[in-house]
Amino acid sequence: MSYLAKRKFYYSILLISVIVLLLLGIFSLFVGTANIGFLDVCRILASKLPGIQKLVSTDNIRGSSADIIIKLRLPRAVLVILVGSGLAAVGAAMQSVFRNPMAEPGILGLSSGAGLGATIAIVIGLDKTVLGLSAAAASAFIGAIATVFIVYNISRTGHRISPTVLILAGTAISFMNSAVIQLIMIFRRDRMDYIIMWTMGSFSSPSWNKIAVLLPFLLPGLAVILFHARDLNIISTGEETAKTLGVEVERTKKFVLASCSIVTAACVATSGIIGFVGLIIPHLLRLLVGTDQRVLLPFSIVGGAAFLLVCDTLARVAAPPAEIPVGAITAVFGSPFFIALLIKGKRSVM
Amino acid sequence: MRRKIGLFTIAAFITVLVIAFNACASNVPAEESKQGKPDDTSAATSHAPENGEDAGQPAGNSNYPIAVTDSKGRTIRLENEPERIISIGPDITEIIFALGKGDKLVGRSAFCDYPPEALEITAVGDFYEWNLEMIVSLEPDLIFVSAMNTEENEKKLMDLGINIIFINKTESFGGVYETIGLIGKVLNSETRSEEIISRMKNDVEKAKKAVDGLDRPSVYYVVGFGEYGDYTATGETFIAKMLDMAGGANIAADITGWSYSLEKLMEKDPDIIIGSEDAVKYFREASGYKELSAVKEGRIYAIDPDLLEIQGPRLSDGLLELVKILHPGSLQ
Repeated sequence: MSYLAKRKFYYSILLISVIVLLLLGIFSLFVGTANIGFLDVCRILASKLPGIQKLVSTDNIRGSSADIIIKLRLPRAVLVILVGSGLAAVGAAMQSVFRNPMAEPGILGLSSGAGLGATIAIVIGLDKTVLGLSAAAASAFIGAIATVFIVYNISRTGHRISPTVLILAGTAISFMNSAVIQLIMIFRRDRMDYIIMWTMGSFSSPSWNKIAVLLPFLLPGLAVILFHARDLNIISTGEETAKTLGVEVERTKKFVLASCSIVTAACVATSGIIGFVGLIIPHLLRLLVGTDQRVLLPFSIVGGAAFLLVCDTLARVAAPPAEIPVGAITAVFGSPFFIALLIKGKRSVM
Repeated sequence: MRRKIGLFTIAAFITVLVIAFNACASNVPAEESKQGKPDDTSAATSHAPENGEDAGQPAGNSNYPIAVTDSKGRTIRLENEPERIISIGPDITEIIFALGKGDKLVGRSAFCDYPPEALEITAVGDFYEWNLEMIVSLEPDLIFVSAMNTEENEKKLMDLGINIIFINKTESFGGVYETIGLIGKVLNSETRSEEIISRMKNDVEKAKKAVDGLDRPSVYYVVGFGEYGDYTATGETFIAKMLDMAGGANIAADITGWSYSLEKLMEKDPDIIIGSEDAVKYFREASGYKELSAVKEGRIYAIDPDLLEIQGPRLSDGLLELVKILHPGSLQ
């Protein structure tokens, strides 16, 4: 059946998914290591809603409970949703640009570049905050963008970029960045723990500030990627075919990759390196909704957000007081599920 | 047809997630209520005294409000004696207990395991990750931090209006005395802190006297070993200073940066090797290490590394231990 005929159907499914995501988000506000009753959470939330705030009394609720809900759990849920949606959408777009199933947000050396940027800031001992973000985060963003810039220029011949060279250059630079990080850690053993801590992605220190910094990169980035969804469909059938069909392949690639890089860099800078979401979620959804980018991208945005939200909530509550690194949860829960889908998909193809 | 299966799978996926999520969630409050109960009662009571505290405090006993300067050079003003303290750092936890204020601790780091009573206090995270939610829910009026931490956690807690006092690692006994004095001042137990400091000073003097004029055996202190790389207390470190004070000639005194190598260790072939139980065990078995003459001739000694690495009241005990190892019999 054609896309147009199915469009309405997909929209309604997507709408349901968004509602489920919102419910998950609200649900995540109710669970956590601090023991805050269901009604208290409702009252704290209601007291912040304009209109009904006068009707709700929060008198006998501990002040710390309101802080926990409004200043910790709520920004965390929002941040997780944003990062999850960004990483998954970028993964889906990159897999289609590169026509490579192993493509993921970090493939152009972004993650390692961010890691190196953060490492340098940590070792120098930069103590300033930039736009409410730590120096390490700002430096990570710069590192990520600088790395992509180098990779891009290595791979460029005239106005053309070869996806293969891009991936290889990205991988090579990644290895080099990681090696430099390791060297720095050996020479600055006193700072090693900070560096390791940074590279293990985590949402344990959420803030509205981070969200405010992330949004201006994330939203336009996602918009550009979504706008090119149809062209990406054609490119993924082969660049030559796409050209004969009138797609400005190089321009599309450039725009999409630039947006992907900015979105990823912003995500990594605010929450560290979180693997798996950008690689597996697009594949998972491809098995469920098909390869059409016009469908896949919106579903990736919602699916990535929902998946990461579930994982992060588990990371928060599974082993109090410790927080399990969210990357470990995403892999432990996501991999078996994905493998099951792969096996099922293989059968139905055969 | 495949599409339909796909959509069914989505629906199933979502259902499974929701169910799994609910299952987890329903476990959590059950688990929490076990831990949470004592907190709840204390929290319920904490509100009332908080209001009545000013009135309740006998006027004569009140040194507050006070202002102190922490290791980051920040000035912290305390209106009242802190009643709900969180300590993130084993050295601080030890000092607070030594000051007899352990009952004021409502939270600690997972690494604070001395004295054993500390283990009964709620852990709010390790060095790497703080559980901010738990910290806030304990409603502390003061947090001491000596462990590493991220600026983000710091900033977040300050934004939440919680007082934080940072204590950096120090490089001398003088620094440790300062820390103990500072915490004593903050916790309204200055007499006790002075007692601790003078006891430590006595021990340090005793150690210095005992080794005065004695030959200095060459010594290697094991920080890291084996496949993780060889690390030792190089010249600039506090442990190196203590080795020196205890009358040893640290073979790594001329270098900096903690890093060492087995080759160099074999070349220098120290008279005495000191390390943790694990290190001693490893040195006795691993090839290369077991060829060292100190290992072959039984001059490798185990020490509790906490005595040297945790910069608290036990540090002078650590120094005396070193003297006992390096110059047996000299302390009598």
